[in-house]
Parts: sequence; C-alpha cells; structure tokens
Amino acid sequence: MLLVPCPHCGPRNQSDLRLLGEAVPRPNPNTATRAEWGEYLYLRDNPADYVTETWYCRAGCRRYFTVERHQATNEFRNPPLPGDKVGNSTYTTITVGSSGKQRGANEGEAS
Amino acid sequence: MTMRRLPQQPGEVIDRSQPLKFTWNGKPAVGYQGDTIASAIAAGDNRIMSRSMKYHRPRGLLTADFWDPNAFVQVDDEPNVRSGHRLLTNGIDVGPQNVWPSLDYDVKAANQLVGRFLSPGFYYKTFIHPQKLWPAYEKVLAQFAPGGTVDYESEMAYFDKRYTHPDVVVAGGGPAGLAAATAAAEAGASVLLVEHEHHLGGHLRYGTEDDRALANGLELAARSAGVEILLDSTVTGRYEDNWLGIVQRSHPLASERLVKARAKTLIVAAGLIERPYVFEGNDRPGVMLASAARRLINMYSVKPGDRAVVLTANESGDQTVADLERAGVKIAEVVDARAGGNVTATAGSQKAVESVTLGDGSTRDADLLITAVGWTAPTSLLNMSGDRPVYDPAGARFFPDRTPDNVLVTGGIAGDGTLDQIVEHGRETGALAASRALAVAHRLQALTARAMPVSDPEPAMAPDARTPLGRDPHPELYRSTTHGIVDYSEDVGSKDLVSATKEGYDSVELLKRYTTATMGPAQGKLETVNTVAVLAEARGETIAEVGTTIWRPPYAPLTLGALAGRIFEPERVSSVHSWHVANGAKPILAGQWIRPEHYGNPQAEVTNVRENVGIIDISPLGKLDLQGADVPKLLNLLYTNKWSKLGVGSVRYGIMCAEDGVVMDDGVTGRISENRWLMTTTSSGAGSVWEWAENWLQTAHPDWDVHITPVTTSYTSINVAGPKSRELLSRLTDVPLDNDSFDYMQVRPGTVAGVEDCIMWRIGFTGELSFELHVPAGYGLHVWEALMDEGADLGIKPFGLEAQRIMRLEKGHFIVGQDTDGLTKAPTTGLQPLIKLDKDDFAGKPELAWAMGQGVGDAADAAGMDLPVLVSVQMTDSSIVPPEASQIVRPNTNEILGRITSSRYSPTLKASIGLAQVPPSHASSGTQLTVLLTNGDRTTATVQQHHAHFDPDGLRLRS
Ligand SMILES: [Zn+2]
Repeated sequence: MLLVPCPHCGPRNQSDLRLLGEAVPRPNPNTATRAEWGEYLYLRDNPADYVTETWYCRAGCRRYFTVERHQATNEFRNPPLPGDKVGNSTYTTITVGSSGKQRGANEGEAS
Repeated sequence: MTMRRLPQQPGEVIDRSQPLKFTWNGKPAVGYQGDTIASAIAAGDNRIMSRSMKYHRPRGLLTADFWDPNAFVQVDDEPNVRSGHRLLTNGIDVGPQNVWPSLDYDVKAANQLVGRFLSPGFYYKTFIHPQKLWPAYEKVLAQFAPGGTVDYESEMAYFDKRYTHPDVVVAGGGPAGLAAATAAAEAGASVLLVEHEHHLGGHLRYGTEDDRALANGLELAARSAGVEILLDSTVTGRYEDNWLGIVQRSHPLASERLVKARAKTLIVAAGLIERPYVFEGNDRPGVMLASAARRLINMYSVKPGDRAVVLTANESGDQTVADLERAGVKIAEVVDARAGGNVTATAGSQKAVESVTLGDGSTRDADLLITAVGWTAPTSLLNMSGDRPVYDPAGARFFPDRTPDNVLVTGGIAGDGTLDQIVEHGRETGALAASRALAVAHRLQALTARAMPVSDPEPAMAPDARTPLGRDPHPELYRSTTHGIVDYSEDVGSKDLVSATKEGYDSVELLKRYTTATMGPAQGKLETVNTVAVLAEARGETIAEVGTTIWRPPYAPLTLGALAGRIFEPERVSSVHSWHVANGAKPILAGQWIRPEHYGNPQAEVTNVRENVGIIDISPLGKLDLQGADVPKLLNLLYTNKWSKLGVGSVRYGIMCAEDGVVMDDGVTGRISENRWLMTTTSSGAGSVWEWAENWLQTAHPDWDVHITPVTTSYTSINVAGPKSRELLSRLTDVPLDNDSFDYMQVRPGTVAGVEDCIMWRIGFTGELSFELHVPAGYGLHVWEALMDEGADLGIKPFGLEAQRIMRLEKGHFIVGQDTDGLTKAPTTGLQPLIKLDKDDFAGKPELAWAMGQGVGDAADAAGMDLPVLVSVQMTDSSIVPPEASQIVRPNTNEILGRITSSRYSPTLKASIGLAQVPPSHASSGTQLTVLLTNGDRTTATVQQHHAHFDPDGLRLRS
C-alpha cells in the first residue's frame, strides 16, 4: 500500500484516499467532438514516467489535490507547497472525469 | 513404551517441574511446559507423525520446526496444526491426519502400490471427461483430500488487528537480527523485532554452550536498548513503501493478531533454512535434518534414535555428530560429503529406517539418518521488495542481488562469516537502517510541506559502507544418484518432476503448477531449490540458468481469521432505532444502515398508508446543507435540469449524471431561505454525491461561493404519508398545511411537536399526500412518538422499507442502481423533459445531447444509439412475481431483450407489477413481453401506458 503525501494531512495510507487517475483537462462541453469527449472520459497516456494525477483525501482533510507520481517507481514529487492556492489557478488540470466510482452502490434506497 | 526423554540438557527449554498431560492418537501421553507438540510426541517414542497426502506413506519428523511437512496434526477441533511449532498445552487431544482407519494401518496406503496412476497431472487427465460425472468424481476425490477435519460447531475466536509505525522493523531474531535491532535502537530509532519462533537467537538456541551465551547476551542488549520484540510472529508480506503484514500468534488475548506496520526501513534477517536431500527412501521415518536432531536433543532433551548415520557437508552437520554422541546415540557412520561421501538409499519397514546404503554401495544398520547437505535462503521478503536473488554454485544457494534503499539484508541470508562477523554485520546494518530511516522521514515530510514546512536540507541517503559478509564454499547437494521425494507435503518425487519436464512442463513456474511441487504448506521453504535443481538436471542446465520461482506473500501461511480480524465497518442506526427494536421491526442491512424492513406485514402496511396514515423512518436519506450565493450555479452543474429560478419555499426533483451521461443519483433539493438549500440524495449516494460536488467546487470552480455541509445524521427524517397525514401533522405544528399555504413540491421550516428548526417537504414518493419531516436528530425519537400518539385515532401505523418499495413501484418511481445500471444514460429513464440541453453546462451534457440525437458532430452517429427504455409492466398471471433481474427474451428463443429491474405484488392493485428495461422496439404500451423465470418457465407481461401503475395523474399526492 502506497504512502501518499497529502499536502494537508501529511503521509497517509493509500486506503485513506481515492485516486481519480491521471489528470486531464475537461474539453468545452459545447464544442467537444465525440472523439475529444471520449478521450477525456476514457483514454490516458499511462507512461512509465511521472504523471500528474488527482487524489481525494477522503478519510482526512477531504481536499482534492494533484501530485506527480512515477508510475514505475511510485515516487511522488511536486505536491502543492505552502503559498500555493488551491484550485485550478495552480492545479495544472481540471479533473472532473467520469470514473464510475462516483456512482452509488446498488443496494441504495431512494426517497 | 520406551521414553526417549534425556536427562537434563544444558540448553533445554522445557520446564520439568510442569508436566502436561495430553492424548496422542487416542492414548494418554505426557510432556512438559515448553515442549512443542511434536517434541512431546517424539519423547514418547512415537516415530510416525502422520501419513502423506497422496500415497499415505508413514512419515516421521523431518525438520521438527514450523516448516515440518510431516508434522501436521489435528488438535481438538483445529485441523492442520504445525506440531513442530505449536507449544504443548495441558489436556489437548492430538490426532494424526490423513489416516484411515488408523495411523499404523492405512487402507489408502494402497495408493502407493498403484503409484504410477498418480503421476503428475493425474487428476487433470483422469477426471476431465465426461463432464457430467464431475459431481461423482468430486465425491470420491473429497474422501482422499488431505488435511484435518473441520468442525463447523467450533466456537468463534477473537482475532485482533494493530497498526504501528516503527522506524525500523527487523524480520528475524537470530544473532544478526538481534545485533541490528540493538544498533538501530541505540541510534535512536524505534525498532520492532519480529521472530518467527518462540525463542530469540535463531540457530544459536540449539547450538553449543558458547552459542547460547552469545544469544542470551544479544537478547539482553536488545531488550535494554528498548527494542519491541514480538515472538512467535512472522512478517508475512512486504508491500509498497515498507507496508508490512505481521501475524502475531503469541498474543495473550487474541487467537492471532494481524499487525500492520509501516516501517521506514526494513531489515531482513530471516536466516537460513536447512534443505532436505533427495534419495530413495528419504521420507522413511528416521530420516531427519541435522537441525531437527539438534533441536530435539538440545532444546527438548529428546533422543532422536539409537544408531545413526550422519551425512554432513558443513560445520552444522559436524556439530550434530557431537550432539548425538552426547545424547547416547551410537554413530554407525559419518559420511563426509565434502570428501565425496554420499548416501543413496534407506531400507527398512514402512515405518522405520533399518539400514542406510552409502555411495559406495555398502550398507550400515541404523534407525536414524541425519542429513546436513546445505541451506535455502528464504528470500521471500526480498522478492517482495523487488529483488531477484542470484544463484551462486560455489556457495550452493541463492544470494540477494539488489534491494531498494529502504530494505537491508543481514545475517545468513546475506552471506557467511564467523559469529563475530555476523554480529558486526548486523550492527552495521542496524546503524545504517536507523540513518536511512531519518532520510526517509525527511523525504516524507518535505513532500507534505503544506502540512508541516521543513527548512533543513534533506539528509543524503546514507551509502552502504558495511563490510560485506563472505561466502563459504559448500558442495552442491540436491539429489543423490537415486530418486526420492522432493515435496513432502505434496507427495511429489524427483521422478515425477523429470517426467513432467519431459511432457513439456520445463519452466519452473509451469512445473510448479503442474506437479504442485512447492505449493504445499511448507510454502516452498524446503523444496523450491530441490525442485529447481531436479529441473536443471533434467534440462541439462545449471540452476542459475533455470532460475527460481518468485516467492510471493505470505512468507508463512496464516489463518483466514487473522486476515479477517476485527472489522472496522461501523453499523449505523437512526435515533428511532430503539423504538423499532421494541416494536418488532424486522431489521435489514442497507449499506451501513440497519433499517426496519417491516413490522410484521408489509402488505398491510401499504394498505394502511393508502387508506389512513403511516410513518417511515428514512433517516439514512442523504442530506447536504448548501449555503452561499453560487449554490444555483452548482445545482445547474450537477443536475440535468434548471435551478436558477427555484424560489424560497420550493422543492424540485432532479437527476444527476456522470460525465459519461450515466445516471448517478437523484433526489429533491429545496430552497429553505435566500441563501440556504437542502439537497437530498439516495441513501447510498450520500457520500459519493458530496465528493462529486466537492470535486467540482475544489478543482473546477474554487472561486464559487458555496459551502457544503453533510447533514444526513444531523436530522432524523420521517415520512408521514397517507390521506390522513395532513390531519395528523396539523395536530403537531402551527405551520399551515392546506394546499394554498403549503402546496405540493414546497418546503417549510417550522416547529413540530415542540421541536424547533424542523424542515418539512411536501413530496410524495409513495404516491400519497405526504410530508417529509427533517427533525434535529436529538429529538427524532420524541417527534416519532408524538406522531404515533397523536395518530392513534387516525389508524396510524409505522411502515418499513418493503412497504415503501411496493408503493414506489406502484407509482413507477425508479431507484438509481436498481432500475438503472452502470450503462443507463438519463434518457432511458423517460425523464427527457428534465434534461435541459439549452443550459450552458452540466455534468454529462455532451453525452446526453448525443443520446438525444443532438449535439456536436455527425447526427447519424448519434442516431445509432439505441438506448434501452425503462417501462412499467404487469404480469399476465398475477400470482407470478418474477425475481428481479429475470430476463426478457424473444418468445421462441433465448435471445435476451432486456430484464425485469424491479418486481412486487401490489396489494393495492391486486396485481404483479414491475419495472423493466427493454429495447425501444418493445417499449410501446400494450407490447407483450416474454419473461424467462429462474426455473426455466416462461411467463408473459404487458407494457403499461404510464410508469405509474397507480394514480398516474398524481391526484392523491396533490390532494
Ligand atoms: Zn488530507
């Protein structure tokens, strides 16, 4: 289990967070072609190199943050530092992607 | 019966003042505190410990420790106990395994007479055809399945978990591990030392007087330095960033405890495991490893035989000769493998060695054959750290190659040397580990500097300046000139491996899986290298060329109980829970919530709501408090419909889609005041919708003025439903409830039953006039009881989830995740009017545009999407309620067209009703559908005009 550097909480077990995957910019929803939108939803580069990915610190500070992780060695680098503003002014990409994980479980009861 | 217990030995670990009684194989026996079960059995002159799993050959002690493949026993109701490791306790009933009808006479031993039928792959090849006989095969083969007897009536045991974050974890408490732990602790690190056995000191414990003195000194130093020591515990796995699984078998209050440790550095000091030798008759009781004999004599004061041949290739073997002589065992012959001596066979009865054939063909009478032919490096934890150990023919074992910076190796697994050199290497390793732990800690802190800024520069990762251990030459001894057993626990012989190689299973990973060699409970510790050596020989290659299997977790088998352990899953109940329990509610687990499914008769509960008034506890309903000027922007983004004009006091329904257009959640949101909204979600979606909303706010729109507070458990939520609900509620609140003051789809704050700050919605999931109350949770029970009291004359009854499910189905309301699935795009639900493509943006907008034949790009492309349609259906035969997920098929074939997503018997309509997903071609009103039932029968259903089976115009809920 990875030790993930939450910029707010410190190192936390991976199970305390949720990985949203490689961060990609969201295309303009009014002009995107099917190919562009499909790429945004489903296609990632997955290089054996550093990628910028988004994590959600679900059992800690409940903040979303981006950090670079080397996908072969799992080394992290460039998490947000003091003085960085939170949000897309400093976060390199917007990461509101459909992951399926956002959906509720099946045993749900509506009202 | 001869007792084999020796007079007091200087290093014995048994306490003769504390005799323990037990039974072995049905007969009374006695041992001492400190004995293992196996040593106590051996002390009673019992040579046969078990029978082997396939051929039911009699087997005696081989290693006399945790790894002994021949010493699995049944202890009371516990099967597969490692008697070479488990300590004896008073009063236990110990029995052998794999015996029928008895240990001494075993019918299935006939297997060995037809041994050629049990060649590798026998089961695969023999029982594959015909398939219809599989159940019969299974019955017969189960009789032959190895292992003990599971008692399904066994009492539950308590298993615990612990989390710990030491700087340094040391795996192995032999001389090197003890020295390393001490040095690391002295350097200021917090250190956890994990020892597999019951004693510290490793092989020193069964060594000479000097060995034991050294072990005691090292143990004292480690304890003085503040090292935390876990005995009878095993590091079973090493994962990313030194996440370690440790099973602690010695915990006084738990059967086992799983310790999850996050170490900054890991020191692997696992030592070496003595390797058996392959030759004819090598599994006859009386053939034993040198370390086993030394354990029995020096630790447990048990004389392992009367007359011994010793095959030795190393100092440990030589020392065994001295130990045997001291114990009064006559030495028939010492065969020195370093001088070219060899052993080729044993002869004797099934049950005991009587003579040993040497390399020159001569024989010696003996009842004991001791082999000391070399060591296996248990490199599991190194494999798990990414290392690929390399075979060195000069040393006749595998040595570590390269480990990550935060994993260090010391002791026998790393190399050879004098005891002084081993201890010094351990000390240097401990100091290095402590230093690197500091560097790791600094790196972690620097990465999380927003939480805690660091100013000092990162210390360099200390270089490895340890004096390396040497490598003693050792002859390569794996198989003699004859064939024998390679894997004792799986009953696989070297001949089997050779024939499997000829069949083409000539890579080690294939051979292992085909023959099951190395796959037994010894976890490959004894047999892997012999397997590789036999394969290498068969292929005419070297061991280095063949390579070895990669050892994966666990290092040693652990129980499922240890893995399951305590479960930290909370159970959630509402503030009304005690009332539900007291009033006979049948509980149902919905997600984490325990909810009333019904109070005895769900059908009657439905009828009462339709005729009078009922209340249901819907506290798990997800609730988010939204405040801030930009809330309408957020709602517009999350829901598919429009929210800008929702006025104070109004409530609106909406569905949420993910970016792929698939329905994610639904619910109503109301505007309570100018800057405050309350959003409700499905019960199971409460958490994920919150995360989803925060995702948009934090990453895409951090400039928006919106604050979200989850308030699901801050409120007790009660739905008051039925034609008499207005009358009931009016007795408890001053808020005007008439249609003009409080219309359908409106929200009002107010006081209910004296409780301030309640929120009331007028909505209708059940299809009846109803008011949904959200009451500050501390007063939930009070309001619930007030409703029950005031409603007594109105015929009030509580209703549970089942009645609500029936009523919502009567109304045709879909449930996200039940009537929709991971591919259901919003238009399938039939709620196209709620999808506002003229909004600037919302989640999933482009996908929904395409699904509805609009959007950017080629229209033909979009038209190709033939989305299923959610329809209401009624069964032709009202007595048949098809199970949910029943397939809808073509009338005369099994071609699947769709499925029933919900189904119930409606007490209101006296009909069997449902919702179904069908293709557009089968969605129009009146279409006859064929439903395939689980028993293979077919029945028919008819598509209804409206989703609502009952009151399609919604007159009742607006009444
Ligand atoms: Zn955090």
